[in-house]
This record gives sequence, structure tokens and C-alpha cells, in this order.
Amino acid sequence: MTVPPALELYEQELTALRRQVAELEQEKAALRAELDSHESQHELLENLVYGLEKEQERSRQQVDAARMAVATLTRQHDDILQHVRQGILTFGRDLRIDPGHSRAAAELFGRSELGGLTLPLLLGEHAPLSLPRYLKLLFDATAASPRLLERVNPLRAHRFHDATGRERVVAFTFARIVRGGAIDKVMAVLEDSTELDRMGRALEQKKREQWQKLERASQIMAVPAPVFRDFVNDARAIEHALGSALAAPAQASWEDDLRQLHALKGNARALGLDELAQRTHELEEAAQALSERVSDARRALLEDQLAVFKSMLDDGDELFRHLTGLRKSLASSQEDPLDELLHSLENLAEREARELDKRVSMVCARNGVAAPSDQSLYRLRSALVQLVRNAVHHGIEDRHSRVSAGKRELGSIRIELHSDGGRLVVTCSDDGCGIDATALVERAVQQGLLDPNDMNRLEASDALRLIFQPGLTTRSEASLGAGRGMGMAVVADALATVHGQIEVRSEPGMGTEFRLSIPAAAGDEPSTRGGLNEHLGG
Amino acid sequence: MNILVVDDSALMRGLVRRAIASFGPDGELSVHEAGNGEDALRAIERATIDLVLLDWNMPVLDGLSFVKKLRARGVSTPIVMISAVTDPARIMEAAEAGVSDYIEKPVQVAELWERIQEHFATRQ
Repeated sequence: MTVPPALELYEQELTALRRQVAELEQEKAALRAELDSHESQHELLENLVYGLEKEQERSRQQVDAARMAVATLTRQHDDILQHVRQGILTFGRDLRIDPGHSRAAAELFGRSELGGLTLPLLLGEHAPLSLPRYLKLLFDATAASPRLLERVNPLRAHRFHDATGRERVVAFTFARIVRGGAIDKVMAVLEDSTELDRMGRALEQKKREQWQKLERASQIMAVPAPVFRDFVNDARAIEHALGSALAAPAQASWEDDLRQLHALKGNARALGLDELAQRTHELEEAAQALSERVSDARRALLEDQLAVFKSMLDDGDELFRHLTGLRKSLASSQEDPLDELLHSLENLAEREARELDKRVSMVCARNGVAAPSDQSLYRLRSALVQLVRNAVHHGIEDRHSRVSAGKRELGSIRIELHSDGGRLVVTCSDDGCGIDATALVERAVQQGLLDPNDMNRLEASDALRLIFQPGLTTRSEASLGAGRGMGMAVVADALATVHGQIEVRSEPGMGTEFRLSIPAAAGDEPSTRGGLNEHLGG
Repeated sequence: MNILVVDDSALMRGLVRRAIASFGPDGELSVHEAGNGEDALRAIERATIDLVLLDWNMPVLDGLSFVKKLRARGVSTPIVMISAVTDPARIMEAAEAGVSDYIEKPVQVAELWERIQEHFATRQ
């Protein structure tokens, strides 16, 4: 069979066309696929661009925020450098201070600029000797810990006098700034600790004062109120007398003043007012010195001692008033004033004996006697304090002497009270060495208190009465305890004030006995010394 | 970690050993001992030492001379000095020689351990 050539051609053409169409289809599919992929890429790119834009926006915001933060920080940094109380400065290996230091750093040294200076130059004569060594150490001792560096820091508390002469304390702390593994700079933080230092010291001082006050308060609390009042009155009178004596030392009645001082000292000690007793003792020394020879130095010494004494007395007085309320609330528990006196005498004897390393037993027998008036009691206290102290100091021998003399090592002091008609009688006796009347007479002659012609005519009992003469002592040195020869004069004085009498008996080697008597109802006596109330009495 | 305790007093070495034993973790720290600077130099040649706890006053070779010799050899092992010396000028001399830290005698065991710990913490 033959196929017409035109048809064959047509068929061939068709096949070719079909193939072409298929190819085109393929191409189209490929193109479509390509287009699809482009489209998705485009979408991707669009997303990407969108994301980038958002990112960019966020970055911009962040950058802005960062910029603002930096600005704030810079401002803060400037503020810190300008206004911080701490001085901040940095320096490099050449030790020259960088210009960008805080203003406070310069102000601490009364300067406006520190840049270019070194610390040794800045501190000048106040710079510690070890400072250059330490600064070198900061850069070179790479192994050293901050703690070790602080341990050897010679400027930890740098004390110096500023341009106005005021003492100041500046604390330096050093820190190393490490950059690139090497110590690049050292930063110093300076803090004015003058105030802190002053406060620290003031606090210490305050604590000490508080403690002293507390101790004084506890001492005053232990003293019965009327007794303390009398004591303060006495002290004020002496203070005034010494004030006048200072103004005109030549006209002063030193003997009187010294006697009053001695009595006051004894009472302070007996009342347990140790600090006041010590003060009074020093005042007595100063008054004694001025009474012997007038000089500017001695006058100044007494003035000083009097000022200290007065301020202590004022303090005590104030404390006493503060304590009155408290005292009232404790009143019910307070013991009878006469018992209190006897107890305080026992304590006194024990204390003085301990200080002298003597052994003393003291017995008080009240025998039901009623307590006399406050005034009489105060004077009785003055007298008995002196008698007890004298007995411990001069009567009772030291332990060795007692044993060699065949006595008991333990010395004995007895105080006995009884009523005799309208009078209160107190005997105070000891088993000590007694009073050497011969030595007393010789001493009195030596001191010009007794005419040598009268010496042999003196009865034994009259010779003993010489002990009531002020200034007569067989001891050569005065101490807080006794020894100025004032004690017995004080006793005589105290008794005279309340119309009392005193007798003394002594047996050499055996002991001494004093017999005091005062009117049982002494009435109201003037509390100041001298005869101010002569015309008011009766 | 190896700690070398250098002290001429066996009592002191015992104290440090006890401090480490009672506070330190089990088995992680071992304590070596030397009675003077010379012995300590030999000990450092023999074993890898991470920290030296060093007394100042010792016979044969004292603490400070030991530090100088060790540093001259280029050994940078950290050294904590434990001594009764209080003079800042002398302690500064120790710092100049290359000491890392300084503990004053008498030593509190708890404080000693704290410092050892502090030391290892800054090293890590």
C-alpha cells in the first residue's frame, strides 16, 4: 500500500509538531517550575527583607537606647567624678596622676588640679617613707593578692595637717586596672575619714566618760542622801575657801583649809567615793605646796586642781539629784544611818588594812543606841573615819612586828557605843603599838608647837593631847591614806562643831583608846564651818 | 591539687594538714611537707605543686630566701606566707619577692581553709 506523499508529509509534520508541543509543554513545565521557585524565592526574599527591616529597626532602637545609656553613664560618671565625696584618681607606671581625676580628690588636698603630680610629690613631707616602694609594688608584684597589697598599704589611714593646720585623715585604697594581661594603671580611691576618725575617738572618750559616770553613780547611790548632802556642803565650803586663798595666799588660813580638806578626803574615802577622795588628795597636795611657798607654778597647780575638783563635784551633785528619785524608790530597803556608818567603818578598816598588807579584825557594838541627828552623825563619821584610819595605819603594827612582840598577828579594833545620861558615848580602841608620848613631845618642840621649858612639866595625859595639834606627825610622807598629821585635828574639829568631847588613853606597846561623847540630841547645828550662827543659837 | 606545707614546726604542719583534711573535699587535695626552704626546693623539683604554704623563720633556708630562689629559677607557683611577722616593711619585702598572700600567726584553721579555697577559686 502506498501512502500519498502529501499525507505522509502531513503526518511527519504532525509528529514533529506533537514532539514540539511536548517539548514546549516540558519547557513550560520547567518554566513554571522555575517560576514557582522564583516566586517562593521572592517570597523568601520579601520575608527576609521584612525581617531585616524589622531587625534594623530593633537595632536602631537598641543603638539609640545604648547611646542614651552611654550618655547617661557618661553624665553619671562625670557626676561621680564631680560630686562624689570620694576622691578617685588613676596613674600609670610613671606614677603621674591622670588629669581625669574627681574633684573631691583635689579638694581633699586643697588643690584644684592634681594632673601630672605624683603621690609622693602631692603628699610632700607627710608622704610615708615606704610610699615609693609601695607604688612600685603595685605595678611589679603581679603575684600579690589585693589583700596582701592592702595589708602593706602605707596610706591606709594617712594623717596630715592641711593648709589651715587642721589635722585630717584620708584613707587611700588602691586597685590595679589590668588591660591585655598587664597592669595598665592603678586606681586610688580616697576617702576623707577625718570625721570618722574623730567620731571614733569621740566615741571611745564618750564610752570612758559614761563608764566613769556609771561608777560614780554607783558610788553615790551607796551613800545615804543626808550624808551625801552634808559631804557636798563641806566640799563646797572648802572650794570657796580655797578660791579665796588663791586670790590672797598670804592672808589665807591654810591650816584651817588643810584640815578641812583632810577631813573631806577621809570622808570621801569612807563613803566609798574613791575618785573624789583621790581628787581631794591631789587638791590637798597642791594646797599644801602653795601654803609652804607661794609661786606662780604652785598657784597654777592649785587653780587647775580646784577646777577639776569643782567639775567633779558639780557632776556628782547633778548625778545625786538625778538619783534622788531612784533613791526614794529604794528607800524602804535602806538601813538605819547609824548601822550604815558602822558598816562603812568596817569596810574602811578592811580596805585600808588590805592595802597595807596588815591583818585587822574590827568589831562594832551599837548596844541599842538610837541614831543621832543627821548633823551629829556626819560629824561623828568625820571623827571616826580618822580614828579608824589612824588605828589601821599607825596603831596596828605590821604582821611581822606583831608576831615578834608576842602579839596575835591579827590586830583588833573595837568601836562601842552606849548612852550616858544625855550623851552618846563612843569608844574606839585598838591593840596596836600605842602612842609614844615622848616622841610626840620631842616632835612638838622641834616643830615649835611646844616651848622646851614646858616639856618636862607636861603630864602624860596632856602630852597625849598634843596629837590633836594640826601638823604634828611622826611620819615623814603623806599618802592618800594618812600621814600629814591632820587626822587628829580633824577629829577635834568635828567634835567641837557638835559640842562633843574627846579623851585619849594609850599604853605603849598595848594599844590606844579614844573616848568620844556628844549630846544625844545635838539640835540644829550650823552646817558650815566658823561661828556664823553665834547669835541664832539661843 | 598538690599543696606543699613548709614549716620547721611539725605541729604547724600537722595543723595545716588537719585544716585541709577536715574542710577539704576527700582525695582532691594532697598535702606534701617540708621542714625548711632547701627541702621545699627539692620537693618542688620532684612533684608538681599548685600552692605553697610557707613559714618565714626556718633553719637552713628561711621563707623569704626560699621565695627569692624559687622566683629566680622562674617558678611562678603561688605562695601564701604564714608568719608571726607584723612589720609592714618586712611584709612588703615578701610581696616584692613574689609572695601572693600573707596570713598572720596565730592561724585560725577555718580562716586558713577559706584562704586556700579563695586561692583555688581565683585560679580557675
